[in-house]
Amino acid sequence: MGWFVRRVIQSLFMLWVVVSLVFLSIHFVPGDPAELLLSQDGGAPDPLMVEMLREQLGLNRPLVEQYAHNVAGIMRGDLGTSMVDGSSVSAEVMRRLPRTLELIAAAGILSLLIGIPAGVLSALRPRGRFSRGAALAAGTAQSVPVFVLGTLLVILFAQVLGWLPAGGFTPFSRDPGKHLQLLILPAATIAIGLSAIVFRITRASMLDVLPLDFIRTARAKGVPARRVVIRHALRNALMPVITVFALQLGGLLAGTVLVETVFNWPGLSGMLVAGVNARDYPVVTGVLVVVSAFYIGLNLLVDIIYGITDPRVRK
Amino acid sequence: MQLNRRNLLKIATMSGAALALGGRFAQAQGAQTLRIGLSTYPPHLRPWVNIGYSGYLVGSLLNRTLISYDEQGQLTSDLAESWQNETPETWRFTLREAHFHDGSPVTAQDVEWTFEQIRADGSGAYMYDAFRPITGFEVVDERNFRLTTDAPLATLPALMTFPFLSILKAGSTDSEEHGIGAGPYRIAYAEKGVSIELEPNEHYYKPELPTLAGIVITPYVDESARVAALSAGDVDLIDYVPWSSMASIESDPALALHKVDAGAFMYLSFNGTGAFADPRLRQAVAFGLRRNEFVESIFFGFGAEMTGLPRPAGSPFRHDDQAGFWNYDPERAKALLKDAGYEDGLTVSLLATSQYSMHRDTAVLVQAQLAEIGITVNLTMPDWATRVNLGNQGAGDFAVQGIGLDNLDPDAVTTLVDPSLSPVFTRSRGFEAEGLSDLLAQGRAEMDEAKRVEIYRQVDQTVLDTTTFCGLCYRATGFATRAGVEDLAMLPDQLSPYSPVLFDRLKLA
Repeated sequence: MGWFVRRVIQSLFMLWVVVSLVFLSIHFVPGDPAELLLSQDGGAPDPLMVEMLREQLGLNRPLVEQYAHNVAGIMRGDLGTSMVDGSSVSAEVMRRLPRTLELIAAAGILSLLIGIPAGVLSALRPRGRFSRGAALAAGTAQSVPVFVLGTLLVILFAQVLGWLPAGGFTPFSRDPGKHLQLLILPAATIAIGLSAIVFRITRASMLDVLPLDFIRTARAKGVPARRVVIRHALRNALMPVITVFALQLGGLLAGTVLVETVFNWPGLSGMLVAGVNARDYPVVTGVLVVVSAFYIGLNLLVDIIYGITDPRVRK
Repeated sequence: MQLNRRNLLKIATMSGAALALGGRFAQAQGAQTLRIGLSTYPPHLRPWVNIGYSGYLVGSLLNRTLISYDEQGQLTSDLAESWQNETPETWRFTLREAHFHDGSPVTAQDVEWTFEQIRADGSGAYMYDAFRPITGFEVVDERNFRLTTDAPLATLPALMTFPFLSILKAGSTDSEEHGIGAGPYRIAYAEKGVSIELEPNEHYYKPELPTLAGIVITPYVDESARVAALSAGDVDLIDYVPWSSMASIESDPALALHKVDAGAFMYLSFNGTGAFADPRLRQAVAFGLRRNEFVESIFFGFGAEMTGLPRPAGSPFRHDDQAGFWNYDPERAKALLKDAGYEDGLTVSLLATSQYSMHRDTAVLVQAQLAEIGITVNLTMPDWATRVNLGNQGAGDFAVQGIGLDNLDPDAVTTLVDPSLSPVFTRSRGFEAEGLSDLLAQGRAEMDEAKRVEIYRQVDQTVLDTTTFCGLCYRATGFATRAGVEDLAMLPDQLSPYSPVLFDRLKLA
């Protein structure tokens, strides 16, 4: 029990470190939210007006006081209010987080549907035409930056063929068909690169598993070839695929900014970038705290599962 | 239903059909609804605060000002039916019979309340400073009011056209953040960062307007995404057309480009705490630049050289000799450097930003061209937020700037050319231009236009001689639309983005 408590305390400590680092770094970066708020499109406010706004936003208070206020709020689950529009950061994060998670989930499913079958087929005939073609395609997919890929997909599917919208977002509740239409291109853009990774890991892992004794035994016993590949080989080859896949997905949580920009998808990354540009301290802190809490929570969960399944970890 | 291969195939087919039909239905429903792809989702819709051009565009569809500009760039009545200068310090305004979105009439009390909100300490209103000369507000009756100023103020009607001077129903901001306005549309739906949907205001005072069944505004922050959305037919109109796309839009028969070449502009401001305290060095910079290269290389030929102050063509305040003052003259620039004691070269720092390509590329071109006359320029190009902060602190010997004037009164340039005003990042600082502030004050106080023309001629000559402002080039400003968008009213010079008449008669074929 002591080990579990220690891990929870460690996680909370890590979260506090993240909150502190984020708070300090964003406050020490040059740029003043009040100046920026009043200087839209070349506006040049009088310094007196800037001073009045700084007072209103609480920016004139000592940094220690602002930090304490920030930490106390986070402990209560309150991420504060945006300096730009006065809206609740928690509410905005909760509105945008599902959009980013949906994008990542759609891309993840698509990449698994492409990457795993391609990896398996490629491993079955490693020197065949398909294998060589797939390796070439995977190399290309991984080397093309997402914003280039996204732009190419927009040109092809929106501008030339006219099959799909170029970008944007419609809530599912307002128009499910349009919502799914708008999801296809950004999800495909992320999925193409991700499926190349899944393909490579699946292929390598299958190549490791296929020569093993238990596969040979299954074949010798007369188990059908498809069953040997799917039930015996793939099942054993999937562990490294899942590990790498999960790491990649985690990285996407705050890393979909280019895709969100190209396709005008109003997710969490875009909120973070806008917050940094406007020096909207509560927004930047709020988004990063949520993303960090997500990672730390996942790590804690994995550690606890390891601890339960393997008692040696707890020693 | 059992999930087998056959059922899965059925679901996939039905989903595909639904997606395809969904798109067609959306097109059919949107036949008379204008779809705008806006460069930014307005940071908020609180009234009177400067929230940038995108916010103004949305505000101009919701609200109205007292006076505005017509398509010829002349002052025209909006909510104020008429106005007259009763005494040098007193203006009387008469409101037209207009109604707010909720059907209640626009009254002098509403205007008084609006002015009080703007003048309140901490309002953050764009017009807070500009309202300082207004010392009194007297409600005469429901539709008449009188304004008193501390001194004669010829610019007062132009002030009333300013963006973000929306007249709202008294007390309406208590219940709704954006208040209740009297513009042609009202908000039907808004989701932050996603879209704003507008529906017609049946109480709008202009007969038979608005013509559209509604407007859907979707932000496309990335300029390529914005152009792609227009090309793909996702939207009917986009703002902030990237200059790199203007030629292809012009040549596409399915699209139309609506622009003015003398729109917003790029210029340099100087910091007089260093070498540029010497006006000869500021002049050397102004004469050492080939402005046509800025238009061609940064704005792809969509713009115009700025060899004087930003005075509209056809305006009585524009004089040809002054408009072409800063012609490229490297020999004169070198002679000025020599006179100032920098025959062997001068090293200065230029503040710009790497966040916006037009600022970054302008800085790089200034650096390259000034090297030819012996001025070595070191570039400081942080992100925009840092650049604003450094600019306000007085960093850099000179700085790259970009702006659009929001009214056509000759006094509109004051905040850019007078270095004696409070030090902010958009204008020169740290030195004086003798007599300039007095001339500008005279211009604001003079009611006679002929006399104003002469005063502003002297203003412009002082600015040119002392180079408190160094114009570089105008950049084309405008909109791109689908070919079916008709009657988009483009106003002269830089007014279009800041005129509420822009979308008044616009219709979809």
